[in-house]
Amino acid sequence: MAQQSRRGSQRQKAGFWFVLPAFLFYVAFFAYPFLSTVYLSMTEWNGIGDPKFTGLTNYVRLVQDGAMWSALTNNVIWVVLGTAAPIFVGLIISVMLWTGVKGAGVFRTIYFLPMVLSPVVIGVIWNWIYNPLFGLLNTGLRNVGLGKWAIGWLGETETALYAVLLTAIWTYMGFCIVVLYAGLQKVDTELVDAARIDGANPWQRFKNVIVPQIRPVLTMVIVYTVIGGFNVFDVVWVMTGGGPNNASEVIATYTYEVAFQNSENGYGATLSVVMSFVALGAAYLAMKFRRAGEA
Amino acid sequence: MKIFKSLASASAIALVATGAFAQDVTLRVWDTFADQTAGMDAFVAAFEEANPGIKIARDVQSIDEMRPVIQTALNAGTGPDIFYYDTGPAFAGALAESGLLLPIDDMYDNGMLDAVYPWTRERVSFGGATYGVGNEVEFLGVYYNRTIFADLGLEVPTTHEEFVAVAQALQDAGNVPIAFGDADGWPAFHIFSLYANNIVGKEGLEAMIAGERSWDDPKVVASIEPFFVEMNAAGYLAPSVNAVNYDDSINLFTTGLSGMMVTGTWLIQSMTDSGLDVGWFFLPAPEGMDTLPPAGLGSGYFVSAATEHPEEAKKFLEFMFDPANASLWVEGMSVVPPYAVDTSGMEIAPLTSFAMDALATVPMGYNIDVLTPDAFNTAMKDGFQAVLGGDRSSAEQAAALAASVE
Repeated sequence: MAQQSRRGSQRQKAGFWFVLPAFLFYVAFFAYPFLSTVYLSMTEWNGIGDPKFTGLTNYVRLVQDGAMWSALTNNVIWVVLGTAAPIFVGLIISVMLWTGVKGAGVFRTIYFLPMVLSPVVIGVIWNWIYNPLFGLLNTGLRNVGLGKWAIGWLGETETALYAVLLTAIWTYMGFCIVVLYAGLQKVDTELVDAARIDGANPWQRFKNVIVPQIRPVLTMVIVYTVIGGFNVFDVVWVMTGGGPNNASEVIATYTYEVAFQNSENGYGATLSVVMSFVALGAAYLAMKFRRAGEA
Repeated sequence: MKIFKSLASASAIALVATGAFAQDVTLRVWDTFADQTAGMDAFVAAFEEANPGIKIARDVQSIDEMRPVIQTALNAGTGPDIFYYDTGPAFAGALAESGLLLPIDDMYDNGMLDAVYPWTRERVSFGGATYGVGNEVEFLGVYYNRTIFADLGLEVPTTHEEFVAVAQALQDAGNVPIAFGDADGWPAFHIFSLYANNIVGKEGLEAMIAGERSWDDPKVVASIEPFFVEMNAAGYLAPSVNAVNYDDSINLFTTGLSGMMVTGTWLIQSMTDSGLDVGWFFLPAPEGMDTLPPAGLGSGYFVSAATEHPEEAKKFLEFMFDPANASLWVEGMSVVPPYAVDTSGMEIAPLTSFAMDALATVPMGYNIDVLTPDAFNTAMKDGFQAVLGGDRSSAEQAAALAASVE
């Protein structure tokens, strides 16, 4: 008994030493920066010198900050459309590929290609496409007699956000296709065949047989997309910088402007903290819905 | 054995006498001359040759990266001895306020920087002390395509009214009159500076920048209206103006699609290289008002308060801004230094020569954005895009500018 207990204790010690490096890494690169950011969010700091503690002043300002709410609204639009569109289209295409389309591997590669490009490169390319002077889109519209629709897509307040969002959807759709296609490999085809014999039409087979079997993968993609939707920065920054007149501003670009262009690092930290909790909350809700669906 | 000892002693004495034991001082210099790096390397080589014992370890940063990097580095005590940085109150001013910059008033007082224009010293002085040497003197105005003007029989305008008439004539000829796009936000700053200097005047702007007079002023409204509202509505600017960035504006002009481009002297080299016959005029004031072109500094050299080699750093600055080395700036890097330059004998473009002469002879106003706080510049960036997009009136924009600094 005593020997067993000693062995258990030794195992615990060994476990401690195995976990320690990862724990220290976590503390140094996640916990400490996060707690520092929480502290900075309660200070007034221009990035130089010592921060001045101001309590919850920044949080009060945040609640009253119209620009922040406008950016958050854009994030919500981004999350809803940027999640629904690529997953919906991606699901359809991945099922088509899964059912045995010729050259499925080639299509998969083509669809996935945008994901291997840097967001900056993608932003620059799509900027050219949208360019009002010589862009492919407007040139095409003019050539087919739709010159009236040839507008400055990234320069109009009504279209800027959606033009950037379309770029993001185009980029992200390939990821959805590949991941969902991988999930489809585990679908029990006998169940699909059984449903067909029972008289289920294609939509019923898709909805009642295929989707329930890939729900874990689907949830993972949704959670990943929702978090990404709240954190989106690069493609917006490259394409519009949040403009014109903040029309495509999202929380991350607003935070960058506040912290690094206006030198309000304290308030920038406040925005970061809130953004983190919003993303975590959204991801938690998505997972909760999944569990509710499984029950 | 004695012979060896004697030889060793003699060698040691000889080494000391020749200075081989003397420690070289290495100055760490950060600048943003990425596009003119060969010219700056030549500058550094000339300095090292003239100052044996002082070495320069040069590091080039992008302008966008310099700001966060320099703040972090200086705060951590790992920054350079000398660095090239924006001169505005929100940039170098903030560093000076935090005690991170070395005051160099003694250089100006001891005649080490005698040739430097006094107004450039003002731009690098904060709280009663001078912390740097401003450089890359720039001013704003209008480039025009001489060939197009000649073909259409157009004269260089001398009033705003004539400027509008020229724009109309260009438009009638199927040309984009003014290559201006504001996707980047900052090109509007310069347009506002041009009109505000002409319409508000130098003293009025001084008072507004100093916070002694509100920006919510009829003259500010009058400075916004002509270009951002009237000329935009008349279709004189690039189509979809908020979607056209600065580079596209340059392309519009240099491909001959546009007759005029309103911007700064930093484009002289590009204009010269374009192969077009390009001329320059100052944006004319409305009838009865004085034309006052805005001038400013691209950046400036500053010395870290933590440097261990302040005297060597000052020697470097003295060398950089010695008029005897002007050709290294002008010919080697196409940079206008902050002092009068005798360009005779230099191989430079006529436009560069014109710019040098103008700086010495034409009264200059203020380039507003380098003198105003970040919040004001953000209000300019967002607000002028809103005015150009028809979402905000000139009066609302003037009020927003005033609110941003209240």
